[in-house]
Amino acid sequence: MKHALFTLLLLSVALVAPAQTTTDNPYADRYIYWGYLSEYKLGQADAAYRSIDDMLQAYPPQKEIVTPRELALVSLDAMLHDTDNDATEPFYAFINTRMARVLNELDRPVTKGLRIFKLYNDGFIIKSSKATVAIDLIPGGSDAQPFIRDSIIYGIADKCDALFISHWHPDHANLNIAKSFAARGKRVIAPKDLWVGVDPLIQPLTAHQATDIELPELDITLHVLPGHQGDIYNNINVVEFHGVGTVAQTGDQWGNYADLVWMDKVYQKYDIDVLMPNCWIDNMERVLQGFSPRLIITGHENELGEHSIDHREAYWITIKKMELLSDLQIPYILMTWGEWFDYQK
Amino acid sequence: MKHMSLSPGRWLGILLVFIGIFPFAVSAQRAPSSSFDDTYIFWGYPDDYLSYQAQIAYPLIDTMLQTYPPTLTPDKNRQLALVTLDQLLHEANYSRREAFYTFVNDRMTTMLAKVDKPVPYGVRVFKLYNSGFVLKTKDITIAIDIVPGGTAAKPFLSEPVIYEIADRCDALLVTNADSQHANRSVADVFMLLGKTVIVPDGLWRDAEAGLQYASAEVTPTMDMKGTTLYVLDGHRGKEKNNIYIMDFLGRGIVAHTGAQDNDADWEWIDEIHNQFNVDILLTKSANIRLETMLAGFQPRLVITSHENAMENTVDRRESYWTTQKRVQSLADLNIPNVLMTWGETYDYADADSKKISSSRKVLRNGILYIERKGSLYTPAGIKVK
Repeated sequence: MKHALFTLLLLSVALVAPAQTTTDNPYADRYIYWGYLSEYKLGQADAAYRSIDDMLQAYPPQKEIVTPRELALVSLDAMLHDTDNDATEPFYAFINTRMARVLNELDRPVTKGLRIFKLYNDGFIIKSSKATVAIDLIPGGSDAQPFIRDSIIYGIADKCDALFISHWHPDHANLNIAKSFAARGKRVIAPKDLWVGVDPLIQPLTAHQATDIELPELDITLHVLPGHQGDIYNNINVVEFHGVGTVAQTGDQWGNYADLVWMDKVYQKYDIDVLMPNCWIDNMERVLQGFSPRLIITGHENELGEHSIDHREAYWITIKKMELLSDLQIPYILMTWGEWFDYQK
Repeated sequence: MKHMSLSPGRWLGILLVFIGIFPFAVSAQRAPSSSFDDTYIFWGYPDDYLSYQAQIAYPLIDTMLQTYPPTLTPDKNRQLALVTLDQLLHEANYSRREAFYTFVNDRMTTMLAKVDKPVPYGVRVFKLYNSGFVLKTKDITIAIDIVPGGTAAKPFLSEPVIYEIADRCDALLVTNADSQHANRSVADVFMLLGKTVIVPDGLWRDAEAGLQYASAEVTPTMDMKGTTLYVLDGHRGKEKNNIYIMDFLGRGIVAHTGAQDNDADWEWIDEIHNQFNVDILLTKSANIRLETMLAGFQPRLVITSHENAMENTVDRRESYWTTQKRVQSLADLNIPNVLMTWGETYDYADADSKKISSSRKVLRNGILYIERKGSLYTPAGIKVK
């Protein structure tokens, strides 16, 4: 039954992007688009996104990137760095199809270790056998036209037990998502001054300083480290799943060199298994040495929003940056939206 | 006005400041394309980003195309490579990406090595830029509609590549006068090397001594090293467009339709299958009446051409994905199709040995044989059973 429902969901998502839209192009049925450039580009986007999705499914994330997967990611970069493809039906179909798979996969139990899901932008979900926590979960796009449909993003939120927010920027924090957690009696830990008084379960920190928060019902401890993006408070959320593993997500850590000093010694206090840094973090090498994780999974690639293409950080850029840091010998996994990876110590 | 006088020490100071600033001033003015390798941060440089992206994507596409060569059945790995290529080639500013030129020339260089290999049976088809093909059999190598593409100042196929292609061919056939099919410099290279160059009547009058003119009215058949060449009276609008049919004497019959586009010609094209038993039809993908063309020739295999003609506007650069959709929409015709891109090779066995294409290689007692209609042949074509 569950499988049938999922198939129905995927089908409905796929229907979002009809290959052919209503047109006065007399040769649309022959796939000739002379004089109909935007229609051509829609068709190309549809063909490309489907092909990319096929290949990403065939070659899921692993420590060694095989050539077909690398091309799929670079192809996705090319699509997402062509502004003609912004806010088009094929794009919505692509991202929603992939997120619908996450929604389905969240039901599959985790018996050992951690299952890490990558969502849009810097969003991650980490699931253990006892808890499912979301970090910086957002629908993307605008309120009027979100990238991820309500039924999917709120369905995902519904399957999580807690939400942690790094900072107030809308590509990381979404009040409606936070409210949906609170409405179901789930805790939201937000940075200082964000959403004060909105709901008792939405808890902005009272001070921007290192803070430990116990969540015994989930068998986790949240260690909030006081990072910054420039002058903006940016919580670095270190989530300790007792006896299973510890993950850290850096939010938009950037442009605050004072933080690098304490970040140099994070490894002395925390035994980090998986670090999820923003791919454009300042001085990545120093941060990696400071956290000394067993595995790196970068976030924040291809943020569309208002960014011009020169700052939509591509997957191939992450590959290149990590090549430069290969001497550190820390394994990394390059994931894209709607993927997951099972981590065990 | 007080005249300013500076001590030698101050002049030295100014000079040192100038020397210190100058390199930064120069680096701010020059294209910063060399300055990203340490950081890969492109903020403020979108065009450099796209050039780097192309530099990453083209070699990956090339690797994938080599790993997953053309086949009768579409492969998902290959499809991704082709649709990514479409995406890159449908950028209006593609010519600003140096990686594009490298990609095209590297693929041609790789292809040349394959042209050197013998073809023991059937026809080996090489696809070049636009409608360009090279057809090689055991006896002859024929080039059709070879053009360098791009501009005279910056062609896609470099002069040495054109020379190397011409050097390996016996003849060049030109279907029509359009610059996407006919290039005088290419023809000159062929003629310089003493190769046969066959063009439609009236083309390049000033070079007629080295050319052979062909038209359906005057020279409907020609013989080239034992290959019979038929010239059919096609048109591109009102202009002549020779449709060439090459009968490789039992190794296969190949037709190339050039830039055929004339409603009056459909009447005889509809019936052409009654006259010729065509194995391979090489025909442009972007044809409003592709179905009529295929139904008329009824070939055993169709290989489309003219995809991604970069001289065209973006909407008229026919992509591989549109070709695939278009051909899939004609599946009722039951004509197999192989989708090829620049610099690729496809081996087609001759008409009499269709089985060779599918299950041709068999091992018996550790020796390789070719199976053909229930009989065994050595790879050199000698019947053993």
